Amino acid sequence: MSKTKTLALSANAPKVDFTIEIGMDFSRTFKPSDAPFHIEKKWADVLLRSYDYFVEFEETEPEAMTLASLMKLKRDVLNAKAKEFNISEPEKLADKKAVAEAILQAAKLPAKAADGADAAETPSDEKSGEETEEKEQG
Amino acid sequence: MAPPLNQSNWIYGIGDTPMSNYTDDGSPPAELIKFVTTDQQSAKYTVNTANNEGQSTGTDWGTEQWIESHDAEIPFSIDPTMLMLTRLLLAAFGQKVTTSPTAGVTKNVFTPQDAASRQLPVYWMGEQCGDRHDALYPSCMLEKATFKGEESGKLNVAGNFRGSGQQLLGEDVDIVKETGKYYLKNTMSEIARALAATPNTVAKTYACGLQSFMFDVDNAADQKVGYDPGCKRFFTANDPDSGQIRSYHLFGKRKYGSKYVIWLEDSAPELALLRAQTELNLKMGMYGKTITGAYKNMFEIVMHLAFYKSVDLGSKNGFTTLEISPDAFYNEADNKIVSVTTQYATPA
Repeated sequence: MSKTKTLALSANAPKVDFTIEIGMDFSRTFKPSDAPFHIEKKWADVLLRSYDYFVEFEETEPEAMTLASLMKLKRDVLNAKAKEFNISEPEKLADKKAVAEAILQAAKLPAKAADGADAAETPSDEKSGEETEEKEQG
Repeated sequence: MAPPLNQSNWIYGIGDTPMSNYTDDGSPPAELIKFVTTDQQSAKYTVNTANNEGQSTGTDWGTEQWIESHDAEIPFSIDPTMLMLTRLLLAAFGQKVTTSPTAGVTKNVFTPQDAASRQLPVYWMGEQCGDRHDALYPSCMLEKATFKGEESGKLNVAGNFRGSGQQLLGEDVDIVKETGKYYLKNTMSEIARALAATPNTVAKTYACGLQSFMFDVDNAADQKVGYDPGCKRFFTANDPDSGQIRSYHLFGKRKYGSKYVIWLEDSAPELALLRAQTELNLKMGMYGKTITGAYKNMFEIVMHLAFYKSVDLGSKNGFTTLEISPDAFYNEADNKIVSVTTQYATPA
């Protein structure tokens, strides 16, 4: 189960960069251009409770993910998404394409569907199937 | 012996920003910001002891005494600058959003810290008296604070910090003057209200009628909590006989109250509403010098749902003087309690 939540900005959020500090444990600057934000679940829940600046981001259904759509994400957002699929240390993968392909493999989706080229090999990893199921239940 | 120094030789300081965590007291900051108090109170430092009086010592008297714990309380009263006010508000509320609505302007909105963490931000504080006394107190949490304006005086904040009980002597930390100082005065105040049925649309102003105000924050910290035996935090590290110091100091059931003295025309419709105890949301603001364009130095307190006592203090020349004491309630319409805003010129 993912330990992060993805938040998008609501219409009430400042249109400029803003920094939120909560006690001594949380401080983060939010740049509207960087939305959506992947945040540790504990603090994401606090932000949702405390501010009307945020809404829970509607994740794209895994079935709708394509190599092209993933490649449009910023690297840190892509890495965060990879972690949602239990891909460990995606930041160590060589490039965004490698991360995106790993996500698609974990989600049992064809890695080259977006390119209209060859479909990826069907993943045989049982674990990835369990993870997808868990996410859907969540 | 050198002659004693005078009370006016005392100066006080506070960390520019909060400590990274409550127990991070191993390395004092390079400097503190001068904390110019109106009452020049020094810290109340207590070493709590116990003894064996009454035990079977065979005598009427005790024969031994030992140290249990240490405590450091720092009461204060200060006419804060905008930056100091902002520092105190962060200490009082623990949660803030900072934006820059336009170049050169900083705006903060403070709200009560979410109880996901009950540890408010804590500060280093210090006091010096010439070269005779030099003490630092880490982990100072703002237990209570009253923000008030009276007549034509400056905005004043009186309150009480409490540290972990640690006291560092002779660290010789510099206490430096604030720069870019700007003060708010009660003459800049105004108060507005709306019916709570229309939250966040505070509109009607009691023009020329605000005589004084007080806004209280009580973080209801339990002073006994935090001396946790398992944490093994001692005045002298690794010396259990030197007495315990706190490992944390948490807020309890917080309360936000206020008191306003206002004048109203005897015929004002607001008077009937106040006498009927109609629930309101309230906004008290102090609006100072323009920074740029429409942006001013500012301090605003909004209570999103206020219930109150209203007492008529007397009527004269067609005006009634009222003392209103609103307490903040949780407004279920917008999930808000209190929000406080400061706005000032961004420091260079």
